[in-house]
Amino acid sequence: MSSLLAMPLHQPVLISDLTRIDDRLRRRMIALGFYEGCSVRIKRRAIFSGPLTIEQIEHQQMIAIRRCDAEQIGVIVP
Amino acid sequence: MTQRIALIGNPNTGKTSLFNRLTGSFAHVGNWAGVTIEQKIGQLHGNIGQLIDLPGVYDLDPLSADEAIVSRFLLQEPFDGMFNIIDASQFERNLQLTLQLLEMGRPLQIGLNMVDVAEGRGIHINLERLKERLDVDVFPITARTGAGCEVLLSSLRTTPREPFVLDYGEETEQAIQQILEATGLGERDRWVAIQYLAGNRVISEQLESSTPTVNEIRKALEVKLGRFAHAHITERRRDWTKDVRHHVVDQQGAQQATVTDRIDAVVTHPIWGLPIFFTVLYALFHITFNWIGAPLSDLLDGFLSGPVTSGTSSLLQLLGTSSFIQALLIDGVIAGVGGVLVFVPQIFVLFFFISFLEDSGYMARVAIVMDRFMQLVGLNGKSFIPMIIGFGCNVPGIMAARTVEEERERLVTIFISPFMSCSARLPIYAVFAASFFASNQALVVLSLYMLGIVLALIAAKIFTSVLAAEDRNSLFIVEQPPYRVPQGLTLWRSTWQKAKGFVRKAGTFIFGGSVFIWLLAYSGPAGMDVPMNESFLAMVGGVVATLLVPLGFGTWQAGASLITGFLAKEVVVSTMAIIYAVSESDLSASLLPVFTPLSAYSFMAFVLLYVPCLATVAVIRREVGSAKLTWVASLYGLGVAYVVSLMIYQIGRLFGLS
Repeated sequence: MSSLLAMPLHQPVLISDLTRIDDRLRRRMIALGFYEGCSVRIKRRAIFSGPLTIEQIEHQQMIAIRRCDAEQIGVIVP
Repeated sequence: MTQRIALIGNPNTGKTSLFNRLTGSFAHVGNWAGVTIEQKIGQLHGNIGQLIDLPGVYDLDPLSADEAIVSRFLLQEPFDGMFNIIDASQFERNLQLTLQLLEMGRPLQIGLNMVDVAEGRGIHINLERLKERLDVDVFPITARTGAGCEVLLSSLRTTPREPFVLDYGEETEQAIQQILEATGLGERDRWVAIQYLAGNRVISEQLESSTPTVNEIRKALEVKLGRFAHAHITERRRDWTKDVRHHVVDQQGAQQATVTDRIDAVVTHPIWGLPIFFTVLYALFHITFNWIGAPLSDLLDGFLSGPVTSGTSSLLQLLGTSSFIQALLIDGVIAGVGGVLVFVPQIFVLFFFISFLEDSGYMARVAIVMDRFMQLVGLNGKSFIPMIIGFGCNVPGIMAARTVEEERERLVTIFISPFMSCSARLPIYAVFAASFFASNQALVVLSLYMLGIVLALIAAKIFTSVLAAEDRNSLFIVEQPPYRVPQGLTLWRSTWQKAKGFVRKAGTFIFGGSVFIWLLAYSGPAGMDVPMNESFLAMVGGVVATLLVPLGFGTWQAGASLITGFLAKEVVVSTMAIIYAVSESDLSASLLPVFTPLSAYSFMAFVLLYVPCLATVAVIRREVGSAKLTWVASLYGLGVAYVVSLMIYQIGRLFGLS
């Protein structure tokens, strides 16, 4: 298992671990369709280590989260 | 009896557009999560009841002050029915909330919005099957154009229905029954028990204080499940929504690069994103002041100081009114109110562009672009949006801070909001910039806005280090909705909604203030109709002026107008117009001998920073809920203003400026 932050742009990956991020962030991500087992990819990285834009591929839902949080999200490459 | 219908849905689903369609009222519409900052109530067409527009939520469990409004409303306020609006292009996500509403068992109807967008993405929803699965009425609507909205309204139903029951599995169902027994709730309140187990904060607070045993029931369940109850419930709900989607949605076609992707590639570009954002801001000011606002204001001013003044003057002479009344109306009311009214065009244009940026979806991108910088001062990218709204008016800006989840960040955002240069300060800049910096107006005004932002960030850094007793992580997650072309009618309505407050102030605060100031200027210790510099106003202003000498504008006129500016910042201009007994266009001529470009800039900086206006202080009091914090938030600016203006004037002089 690796961290979402380490994934290259546009590489589809499955979220495998959301347990290490803040409880509120996890709930909001789940409410927006980013649950364990779903397929996501990084769409963009903002400059100066700014937030990542990630997409839930199936729902075409986009959100922005910080890199420090993305680092704590476990993913597997299918 | 009036029916009360609540309008509920996810953010960015067109809820407020639907509200506008159904009520014909002027509620503001936004396209970044959290623009509906207050409960808005409108009369439904045909006078069949009231519609309550609630803030958008993804879940009934609130993370921000904004979302808590919805949970509290559903628990505590009386209502007869609900409209749930669903974005068809984000069907599964929206259905999570719908399920929770169905479980409540209150009368409910669903408006399926953006069916056209969904079909464009190859998503087809079978309405008949959806109705069957959910056992409620579903109406396809297009809130932007109004298609289908009347049907939704005419089939409004408030007859009770049975709560929807989703089986959460044996252990959980037992726990639900135990909670209902322990709290004395009936089967109809099953949803309360489910919300409790799902971790809803508002409900946990209520249940655990009245019946502490519920906590043990939940813990026992978690032991049986071997995981958190909320994780289990969320998963069951997700399985259900997936199943529903599987049965009613027919999806075809592969994904392709959408317009949103192409725009995002430019405006959130790693390198160009920031310059583009500042270009957008600069263009906004340039168009507002140089291209559209200023010419329109000049036209209006010509009309007010020309035909209106001379017409009123000759009419009053014709009627044979006393010189007191003539002076009051011409020098007091027309000069004072007129001096502010001429800025209405500029303010409309500014609000128009702010509404445009909100409705298009660009604001959600601004949160990304700015997050890194805001983090440096202990805030997050979301705090920047209330700050931009504050450019229009600090009052809605401060209310928009409710969308910032972290309490510490919300308080700091409120504290620094008054440094955002609101549109009421514009008339002051406009007069001084036109008089002293005629060729660089947009640049000078932009520099003041920037000064406000920079000082706000410094203040944020200081407040954060004072308030952050325990260093908690901040929460940053922003939905990035697809871009949408703002709809003309909606744009006009939201512009008007924001700008009308300014026009109303001209008729109340500024009218009253003008008459009062004129009276102070007209009377003095020696009686009525005294020379201006022997008036009461000159005496009061003179005391303040001695303190202002080091800042470069130690005249009683400046002192007096700054005092009156607390009522509303734009009154500073009315006061000056009254003091110098001229109209706004001639005010320049009166100011030229008194100010230099340097002292004019120092004065503008002082006006930007010194105190929030009365209305802003009132809203700060309401939002922070503490008198002590309100005092701090209202008065620290005075010290900042003094220091900054002193530095501008004294350092400027050292460099030989005048």
